[in-house]
This record gives sequence, C-alpha cells and structure tokens, in this order.
Amino acid sequence: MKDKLSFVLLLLPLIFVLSCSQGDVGPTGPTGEDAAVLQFQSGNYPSDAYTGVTDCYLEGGWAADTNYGTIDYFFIGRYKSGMHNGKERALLKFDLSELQNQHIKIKKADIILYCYMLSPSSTTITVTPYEINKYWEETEATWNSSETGTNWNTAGGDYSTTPVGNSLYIDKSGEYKIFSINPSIVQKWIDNPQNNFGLIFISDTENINEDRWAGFYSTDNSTVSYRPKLVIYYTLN
Amino acid sequence: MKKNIILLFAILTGMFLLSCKGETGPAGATGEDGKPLYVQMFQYNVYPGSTYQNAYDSLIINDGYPTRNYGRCDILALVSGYIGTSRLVLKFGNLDNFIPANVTIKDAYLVLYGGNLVTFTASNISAYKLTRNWTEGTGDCSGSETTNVSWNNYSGSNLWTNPGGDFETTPISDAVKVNTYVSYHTLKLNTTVVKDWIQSPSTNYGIVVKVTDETKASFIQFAGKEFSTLSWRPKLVIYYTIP
Repeated sequence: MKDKLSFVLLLLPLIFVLSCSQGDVGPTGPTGEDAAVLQFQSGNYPSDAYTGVTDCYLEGGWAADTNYGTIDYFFIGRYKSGMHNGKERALLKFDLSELQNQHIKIKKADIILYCYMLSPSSTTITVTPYEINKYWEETEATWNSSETGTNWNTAGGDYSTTPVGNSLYIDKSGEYKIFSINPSIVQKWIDNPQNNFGLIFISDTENINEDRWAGFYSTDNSTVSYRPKLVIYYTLN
Repeated sequence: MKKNIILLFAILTGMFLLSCKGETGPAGATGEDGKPLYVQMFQYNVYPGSTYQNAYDSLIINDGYPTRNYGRCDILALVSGYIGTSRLVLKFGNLDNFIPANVTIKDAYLVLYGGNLVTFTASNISAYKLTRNWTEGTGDCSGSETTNVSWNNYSGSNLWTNPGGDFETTPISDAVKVNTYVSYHTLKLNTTVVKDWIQSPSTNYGIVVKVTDETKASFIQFAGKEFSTLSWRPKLVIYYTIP
C-alpha cells in the first residue's frame, strides 16, 4: 500500500510536467503599410520650383527691432558682442498647403538644419523646437513685432511651451543636425494650412549672460543643399 | 483499497485536465515591412521640375460658339445646368521619362484646385478616359481661336464623333463633390489606365473631367496650368512600388 502511494506520488509530478506542453506559436503579424517619403527644401525638393520655406531669426536687446529675414544664416542662443547682448531665436516655416486633401497620413517627420558655426567654438548648446501660434512675416518679424505694426503678445515670439520635437545637444559644428518633429504638427500644416505658423527654435543658453550661440544656414543660403529641409514619411488613407 | 484507487484516478484526471492548459505559445513573427512607396508628381512648370511642360488642359463648351478654343485660359470652368455645358480636357505626357515601365502603380490622383460658385448646390465631378487625341491650342479665356480642341473639334476642323469629346462612358475616377469652399479636390484614378499611360505613351490621350450629372446646375472654376499660383495648377500624383 505504501509502495503504491509512493509510486502515485512520483507519477503525479511527471504527469503534471508532461501534460503542460507550450501552446502554438502565434500568428505572423500583419504586413506593414507601404510608406512614401517627400522632402521639402527651397529651390530643390520636391522640385526646383518649390519656394515654400520662410525663416528669419529674432534678437533681443539692442537689435530687438531689427529684422533678419533675408540673411543667409540664423543664430540660436545668446549673442554678446559690442552693443549686442540678446537672446536669439530662429523662426522656420514649411508651407505644405499643396498637399491638402490628398490622402496623406504623416507617420514621421524630420527637420534637418546645417550648423556651420558654434560661438565660442568650444561651447555646447541644446536647441528645442516649439510651435509658433501667431502669424509672422519673414521680412518684417523682429524680437518685438510679428510683422510691421503688430507686436508679439510676448516679445521674443508667441509659442506653445510644449516642445514639438526632440531637444538636440550640439557640441560640434560643420554638420547637419536632425530634429524629429511631432507628426501631428506636420499633419496640421497639411490639413489646416491657415494654422501653420511654423516653429521657433530656442536654446538653453539664451539666459546665460555670455556669447553662446549656434549658427545655421537659412533658406536664403546660396548653397541649396545647406538650406533647411523637411522630410516627411507618410502612408495613404 | 478500491475506494482509494477510484479517488486517485479522480484526482489524476482532475489534475490532468487542470494542468493541460499549456502556457501561451511564443509570439508570432513580425509581419513584413511595407514597401517603399515612390511618389512622382506632374504639374506644369513645377513637377517633376520647373522645365516640365508636357501638361495640357483646356475647357470645351457648347454655349453657342462650340468651335472656340480656350487652350491658354488660366481658368478651367465646369458649367452645367443653365448657360450651357462645359467640360475639361487634360493630359499629362512624358510620364515614361520619369517612371519605369515595370513598376506597380499603387495609387494615382488628379488634384484640382478651385470651388463651385453656385451657392445652392454641390456637384460631383468624375474623370473619363479620352479615346482620341486632341490639340491644346492657344485660345485665351475669350475663346480667341477656333483651330484647336473645342466642343465640336478635337483638332483643326476635325470633328469629335460625339460633340463634347470622345471618351469611354465608364468613369476612371471616383465621383468627387465640389462645394463652394475653395480648396484642393482629389480624384482617385484607375491605376490600370495610369499604367497604360506609362507603358503605351502613344495612346495616352488624357481625360475628360465633367460634372457627373450635367442636368444639375453647377459653375465650378478650377485653376488651369497657366494659373499664376503654381501650386494650384492641375497635378497628377502617382505612387508606385518597384518589383
């Protein structure tokens, strides 16, 4: 009797282990959607006829009423030299209205800027993009005004304080920098072009009372490939 | 003893049933990645580049002057229901220079910018495949010449078999509503037809765009290929994958 019990006790775990085989492998996941890529760069992409990029930079302090809309670069950070001592922020807008109502669903978007200089060259700077929420005129906007005769509600540009892309740590110049932009913002630029006021790029060094800025080539630069570029990745719906 | 065996048997069966619910199997494989979707746009003097001039468009109208040509008019008017009927003829050529013949066309769109001036109605428009070639002409918005495409003629004094254009009666696009809100209107085109334009360019005669029900009043205006705002000009967008 005792022997039988021992045998049963041995048998039970064995049955337990044997009977617990693993389930089948799950089904293969669905095939990914086919995705398209379009680039936007003034005078270059999607074709040489595209001119929908506007940019300028704003400088506080002594140059608070100066417009920098036709210069071939923009500064982000703080500029301190001679009479200049002010925060510097860049405004950048891509007009995507020509894509409205065309079944486009944005999955990913990048803005690529060419950083040609850091001042001083040893400085490091972190730059973050925000969404502007007021119309501005490229050849009129200044630190104080969004366009001639109209002040920003807050000097230095009216923007939503939640970043719309990653902050980029910059410790080297002479190369392209890639900002990943929230796809829903870019979708809005397509679906509601009247609400596309572009982005403002702000750095963490602007509050430090030292000359610390990063220089980028603007859409007015004669070297087309250095101009700001937007790359959108999308599917069709 | 017998009781014990029965009890044991019952326990074993119970355990077997309870324990036999195997663990969840491993997750399935990840699905395939989607394919790259190549996009090529065509727009007069814009896409693929500022030198592209193989786009052609004109309105044709039966308003009492059905031989007038409007090939250089920057407005494409689609009128129906009262002062006459007008239709648009459009063609994008040289596609085979930019898209390889062996690709798979996934989607193709004709994009027209404009709206309906008639405030009390909205009209559907559709595209139809032309079966005869035509010459665009140089008439301005007053119909200043009569030797090219018109309601009656496809070229010179050569008559369409059917006034208003020879086209297949089954539309090659969806029906798109045009209301008074001025914006982009996107007609989804039959991809087989678009593929033919690439593979057999010599039989690409383009399309007619017309109000689907021409008995209803509409007065639609779209920007034509001469329109000063480049991005409003008629645009053909082709999405394809490479085999």
